Amino acid sequence: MTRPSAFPTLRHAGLHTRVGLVLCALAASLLLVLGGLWLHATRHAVHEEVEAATRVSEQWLKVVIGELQVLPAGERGERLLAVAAGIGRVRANGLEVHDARGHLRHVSPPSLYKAGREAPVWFARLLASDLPARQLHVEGYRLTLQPDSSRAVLDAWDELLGMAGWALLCLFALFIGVRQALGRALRPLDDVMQALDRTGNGRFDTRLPQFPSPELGRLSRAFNGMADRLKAAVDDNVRLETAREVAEQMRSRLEIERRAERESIARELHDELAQGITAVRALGGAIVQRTTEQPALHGHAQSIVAVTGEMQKGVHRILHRLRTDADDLAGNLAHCVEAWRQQHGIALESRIVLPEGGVDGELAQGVLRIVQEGLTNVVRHARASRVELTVVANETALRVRLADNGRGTGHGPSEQAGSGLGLRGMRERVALLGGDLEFTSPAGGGFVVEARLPVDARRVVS
Amino acid sequence: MNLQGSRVLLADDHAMVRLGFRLLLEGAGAEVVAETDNGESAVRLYAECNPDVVVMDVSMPGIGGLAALERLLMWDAKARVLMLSAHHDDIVPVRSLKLGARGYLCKRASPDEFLRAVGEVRRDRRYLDPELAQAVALAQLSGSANPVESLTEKELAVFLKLAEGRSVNDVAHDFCLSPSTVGTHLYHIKQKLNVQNAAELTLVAVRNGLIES
Repeated sequence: MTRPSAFPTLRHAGLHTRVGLVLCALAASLLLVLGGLWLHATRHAVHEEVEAATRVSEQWLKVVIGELQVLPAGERGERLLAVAAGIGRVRANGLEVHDARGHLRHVSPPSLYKAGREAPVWFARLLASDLPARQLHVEGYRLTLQPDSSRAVLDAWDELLGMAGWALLCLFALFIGVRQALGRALRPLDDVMQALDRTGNGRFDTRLPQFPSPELGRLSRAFNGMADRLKAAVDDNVRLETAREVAEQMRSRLEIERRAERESIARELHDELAQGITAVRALGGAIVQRTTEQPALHGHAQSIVAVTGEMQKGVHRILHRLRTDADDLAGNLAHCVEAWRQQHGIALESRIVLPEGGVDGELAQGVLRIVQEGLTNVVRHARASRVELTVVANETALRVRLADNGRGTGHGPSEQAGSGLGLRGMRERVALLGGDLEFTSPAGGGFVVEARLPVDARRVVS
Repeated sequence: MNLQGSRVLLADDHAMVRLGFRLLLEGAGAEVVAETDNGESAVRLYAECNPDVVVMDVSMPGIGGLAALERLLMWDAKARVLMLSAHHDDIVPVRSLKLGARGYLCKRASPDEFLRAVGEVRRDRRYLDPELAQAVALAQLSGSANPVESLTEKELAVFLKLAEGRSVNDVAHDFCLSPSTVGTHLYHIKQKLNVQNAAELTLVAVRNGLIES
């Protein structure tokens, strides 16, 4: 049972206001209990007082009436009336005199004490106690003594009002006092909140002061300890990151130096050795031309041409090995993917898992070209917003899969399975590498190109 | 192979290679009317001798073979040029043939193949080294998948020089250009190939077989 916004202000009140209110409510209920006790005692006192007053008045009236016996019987009634009129009210009692015929001859005037004021009816009813009226008879006259507790009740009411006023004042003071004391005691919590906020925003140097109260002291010690550990962890991360970057830079510098070294060897091989072999081969060829009449020389010259051909192939192989790296494909693919991503702004997710030892140079070149062509096709035809590239290899096979979420087949001439120039080129490339290529258009749309290439098998190159 | 009566201009920076080719050509009945080791004088000698066939290496000091080919064809659009290369790529052959070279041969080819290529070019037929044909055909099929193909002729010439390890100033001197012009070319090359430094530039060239035996 939640009543929405019944007491929005209370619900949003601060902790100290709430605690103040609770304490005040406790004090107020204590005061109510005390009030009840007081009421009980007061009721008793009022009863006693009025009862006592009535008794004294009755005895006194009896004495007065006894004194009337000295007068002749005829005068006694009038004399009683005169006395009654003379005394007015007898303490908290009203006085009435009826003659023999039952006529009301005298009523005492209302009390002058706090004249005209009455306690509220409900309060009077709470305190009132039934006291029987006393009647005295003198020569046919009837004297009625009517106990009247209204003045005592009014006194009690006035006293209650005074006490209630003080009680409210005290409650209010209590509330204010508690609220302020709590506010002062809880002020460090603001610091704690600010510190948490700052730390949350990445300012790990934030620390809490030592608060005087033991609980908050523990809190601040725990917070500071946590912040210390956090800072240490961040520092560690930065250190590791820096170390990794330095190592990476060292590695790439070494790599560049290694590459430069190999490159200079390769250049020398190419410029000096390969050209020299070409020259010798041409010279050999020239001798072959001129020695058709001399079989001995002719055969040797032909051998020179053949051997230099082999030497050229050997140099080519060495150059190839010098200029291709085992990890080249992964780097090339990452480079290509990154460049494509930046150029076209199409989301491209790539997963590239290559075997430890790298892949053969020709296969690597082929894979790179297949990926490049596939990505070019996506830009040209697919109108895709998302592309997934997977290149996964194990010991025997390498799988290239390119899936987009574009238009798929059937929207243009080029997407028909392999009819477009890009796809045909790709198919021929895959065939050269001894693999097979599949195009599919999934039900959900898009286009998937998947190539499977053997890793080890010698390719079907002519 | 009969090249009787053919007048040939040889441009190659290796004297021994030139000697070999010269003997081969003379053995086949051709006459080598002039020899040079650089592109600039190849253009000049062509104007002087007006040979039937020009045999020119792609990589030579100075402006190099490609730029010389361009200038030569500006002088005489009907010039019959056989380009030679020690490299094994698909970019330079395509460029050369597009520029107007009649033939393209890899230096690894056998002496007989060399003479056959010269003969084909002499008869004004197109010739492409069979070993390169496959790669060239595939490069044509795959369209512009390779960023190197987006380079202009001038940019490619500069790119090749730089990839060989020559400095911007060297290249500017070779092409008789100001270093800032070469710098602009270099900027465009880096943009198109998405490379950051000279090492990566060389790597791209290696990957594309532009500097590989």
